[in-house]
Amino acid sequence: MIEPNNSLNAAAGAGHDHQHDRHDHDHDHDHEDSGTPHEARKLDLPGVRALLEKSHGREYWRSLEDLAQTDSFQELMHREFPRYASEWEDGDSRRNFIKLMGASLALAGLTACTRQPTEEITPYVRQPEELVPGRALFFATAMPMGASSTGLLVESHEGRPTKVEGNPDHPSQGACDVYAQASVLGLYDPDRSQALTLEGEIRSWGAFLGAVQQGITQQKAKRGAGLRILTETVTSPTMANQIKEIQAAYPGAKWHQWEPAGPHSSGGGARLAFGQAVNTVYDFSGADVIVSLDADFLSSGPGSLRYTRQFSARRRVRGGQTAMNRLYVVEPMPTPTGTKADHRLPLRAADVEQFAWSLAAALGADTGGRKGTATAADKWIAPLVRDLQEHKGASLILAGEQQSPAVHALAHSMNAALGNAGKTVMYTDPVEAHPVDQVASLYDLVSDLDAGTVDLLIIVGGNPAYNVPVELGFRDRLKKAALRVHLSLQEDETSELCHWHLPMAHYLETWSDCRAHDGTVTIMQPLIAPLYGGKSGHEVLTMLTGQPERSSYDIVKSYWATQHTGADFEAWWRKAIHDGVVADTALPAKNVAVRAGWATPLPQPPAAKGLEVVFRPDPAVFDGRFANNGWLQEWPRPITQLTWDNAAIFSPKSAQDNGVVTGDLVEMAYRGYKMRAPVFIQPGHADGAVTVHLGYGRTRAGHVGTRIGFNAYGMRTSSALWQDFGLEVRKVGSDYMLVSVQDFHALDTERHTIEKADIAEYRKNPNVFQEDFEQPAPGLTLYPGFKYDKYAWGMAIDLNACTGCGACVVACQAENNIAVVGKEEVHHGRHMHWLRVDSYYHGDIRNPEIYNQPVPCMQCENAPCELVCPVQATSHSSEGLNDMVYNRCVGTRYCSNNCPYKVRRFNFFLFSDFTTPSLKLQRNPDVSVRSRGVMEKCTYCVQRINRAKIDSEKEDRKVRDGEIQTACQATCPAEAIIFGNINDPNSQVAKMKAEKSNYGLLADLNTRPRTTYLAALRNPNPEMEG
Amino acid sequence: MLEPVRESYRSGESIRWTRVHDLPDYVYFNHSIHVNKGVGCETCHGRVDKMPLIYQQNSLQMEWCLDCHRHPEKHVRPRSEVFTMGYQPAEDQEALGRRLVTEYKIQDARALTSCSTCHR
Repeated sequence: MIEPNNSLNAAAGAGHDHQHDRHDHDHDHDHEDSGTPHEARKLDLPGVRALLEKSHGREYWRSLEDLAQTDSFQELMHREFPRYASEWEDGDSRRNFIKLMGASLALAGLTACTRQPTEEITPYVRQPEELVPGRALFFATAMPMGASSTGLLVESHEGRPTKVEGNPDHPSQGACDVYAQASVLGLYDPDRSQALTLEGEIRSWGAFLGAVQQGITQQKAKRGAGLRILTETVTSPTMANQIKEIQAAYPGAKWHQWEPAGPHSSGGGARLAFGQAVNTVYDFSGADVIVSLDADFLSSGPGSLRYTRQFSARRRVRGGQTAMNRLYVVEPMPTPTGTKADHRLPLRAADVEQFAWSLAAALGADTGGRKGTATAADKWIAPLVRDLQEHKGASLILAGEQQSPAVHALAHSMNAALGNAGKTVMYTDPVEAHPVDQVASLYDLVSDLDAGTVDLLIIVGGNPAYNVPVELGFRDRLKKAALRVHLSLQEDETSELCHWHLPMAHYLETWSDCRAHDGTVTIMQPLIAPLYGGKSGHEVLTMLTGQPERSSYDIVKSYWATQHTGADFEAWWRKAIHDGVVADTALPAKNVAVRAGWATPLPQPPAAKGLEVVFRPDPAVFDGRFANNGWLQEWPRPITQLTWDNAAIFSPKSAQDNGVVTGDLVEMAYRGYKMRAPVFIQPGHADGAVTVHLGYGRTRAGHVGTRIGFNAYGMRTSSALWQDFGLEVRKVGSDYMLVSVQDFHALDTERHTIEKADIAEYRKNPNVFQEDFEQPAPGLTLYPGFKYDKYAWGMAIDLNACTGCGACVVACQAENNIAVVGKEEVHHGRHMHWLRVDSYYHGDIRNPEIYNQPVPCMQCENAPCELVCPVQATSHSSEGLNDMVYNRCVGTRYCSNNCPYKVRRFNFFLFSDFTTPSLKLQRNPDVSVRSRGVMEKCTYCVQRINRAKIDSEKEDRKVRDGEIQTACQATCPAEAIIFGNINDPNSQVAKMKAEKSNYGLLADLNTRPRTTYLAALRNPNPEMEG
Repeated sequence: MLEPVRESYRSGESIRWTRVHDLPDYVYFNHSIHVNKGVGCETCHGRVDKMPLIYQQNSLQMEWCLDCHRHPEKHVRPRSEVFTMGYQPAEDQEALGRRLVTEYKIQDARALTSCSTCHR
């Protein structure tokens, strides 16, 4: 369906050919304004109201617009790209067009395609050992974040890291989350500071060393009373030791730690329940029944990667395993964990606490006689208690980090009452080197600042001027320190208030160490020398000692030499670095008991009054540190699928009650603090609460992150770090352009895109999925089939395991040089992600079930795209891949028009950055960087396939099952994506495809997709409905 | 004559060789698999032992590559002879070639001419 490229035509309604009438729908609509950008027919208040009234008749729906069948959604469903994707709607179009065309004419030049520009070969004079140009090397390290770290194997091409993979030997078990995958872009961020500055003027490290040595000499007389060190949460044993030595030399010095999303509540909860700092480690492999009290353990928090692996292993129904675990979730805002729940209830965060009290009382745990107030979850309590008690020692109750310390203590009590301690939950010494109440630590620093006793303040990493609780007025108080030093990756909000800004070495550029969620130590090694002469926290702290010029390598190695017992330290050191884990450093289990009567002195939480504000770390930018990372900003957040923004997230009913719809700008007021944000209506969100994500509205985050979104830290106080009542909302505007890709690339939801069933149904009748399947007969095609004698590549995605965390999307972007296009272009539907995770809702809009479905290219055997390319730029390979040849593509876009899965992406403009030098270093040399005018799509990571095939042929063997892991597969914590040779009956993918729950997406179109799915199953409690 | 090499070793600066056999960037060529499968040096590079200054003997255009990819038996030689200059097959090239293709497990023309073999 090729439409004339003319919006005037569309408005006139004349002369445009459209296929709307071809499919049946039972409402009429007119087409007058269904094409103008930024005016897509929105869901208005009466529309929302009507939806709330009617009983759901649709099986699956993508969004409220889909349910209401708005014109704009119909458009999006029928077209490959939104109508205005292939148009240039920006102002001054004719002038811009000539400008761009002029530029590209100059680029095309007269030297095209006759002779290559002369290249040179410059061999190494002294080649680094093991390095073969063209082959990647993998080095083990880890990415520290908060009170945990992710073990990594980083792929390095010719001495520069290009891709991050997980380390299978690490507690994170070879998986990575989005932060680790995107971190490699942070290394090459062009906005990283490239020079050390003193009040804006460039200085050398020597000058800084001189100044700090002067400062420290003055402190000697005072015994260090004016020295303050402010870090983020530190798990590094080396750094903790350095600070300890500094405090030994300067006893008056203080060490403060602050991180906005630090372990505040879990730390408080442990102190409350056990009277001491204790780390909690879960083991889901033995848990049959799991209750999550606002704990998003499947996509965030320490240990989430391993927990996902364990949880998914108990959830997979294949290979004869039919027993599933059961998950109950109560949470205010839908999260990936909520999508896997067998029973989910949206509850305000404060109600989660009340529910926890009630559940604990019903379980007979020690609650000091307190019972919670009534909540909507009370109907759960009786059947839930029965279920838990039937699984004593095989159940698990978790409190989310953002719930209050009381809820954490309640979870500890309940686990103790159920006999889970030592089985599904373990307690160890803290992972943090020096656990403190970070808020109290900040208050201590602030009172010292006010007293004027801080002479030298060294801030190692972090961005306290941006993210400290607002009532502290830190931006002004910070200036009371006489000499302020900030070590950071780029000049941010804190750097502009400090005297010295020191460029920090990225974690991929330095030696260091860190601990995982269970205490396992990784000694981190650098992948590349610091690009801009940055230094690590270790190297800056050592400047305060008598050995000011030690390198990170010396500092870390000499620390571990003191820790090592036994002979041959060198061999141990090399092995530890090679493996990426230090053997036997997981913290041993500790015997702790919940203190009797811990609950008695606790005050009653304040009564519910008005709206509840819920602050949460953002799934993409976390606490704001990744704001300048283009991959993360453009990554569709789970559930909301928002990009490039945060929003004030309301439930449909709350939105109606407050008279707002998606896109309205509201001013929110809490305790006299205000912030603005656009409204986003989220089905499944709790009524009476508004979720707002942290990490946006930054004023100094670099070219990508500055002024993106809205700053929630301006409303965040230390007494209510995560949630509180008393929020007031007032509409101040409308039509804010919020870009959610939920409806883009929508498949017709009347078709069975998601297959699901209850496990009981599936066990009784394993053919339940095959029965209503409309797979056409194998011979039903005009074309002779391809024969695949050797390898036939295929992929199976287990929807049962997939949590919708979205790490696969960023991994694909990193591996395949996929460009970032920016908010405006995403709004036009031109984002370039080869892999997307679709979410489908099922059921009532107040509390729908949510299903996640990753959609890569299906690599169809009867590919509709291959037939229509006029230049044969997309053809079928001998192994079943649908090849995409960029150099042949002329940009007709007929292929994407024909693709029923909408997996093809077109470079409408030159989205790839061809000029910024540091970004060129990140690119994967095995994959083309596409220019404008070419189509691209998922290739099953053909570069990895070819590499494995070449290696296997040189070694005269076949490719082993599991040797080729596509980027998405390698990073998936849930092991939901399996790729392999379907001609090998013993391969994991062949076995998955043989399962009765295996189905192809839109298979009735006779495309014969090579990527198939295993249906989603749920394990509801027969005593509960909903 | 070898002064540039000695100078490079002394100073640590790489020698800047002008690349003669260069394929466009959209071609992903793996040299090691060709050597491993019995494609002789002189097959593509010509009689380099007789070149005082290397020149490009073959066009290196895709049609030239496809010629061998479609009929590898016409050009393949025993692995022991890969480095030999002026190689003459002991028997008829076609017969020898077909045997070597089977022995070295060289893929068939359909696999060798799949687009993703060289373009990605």
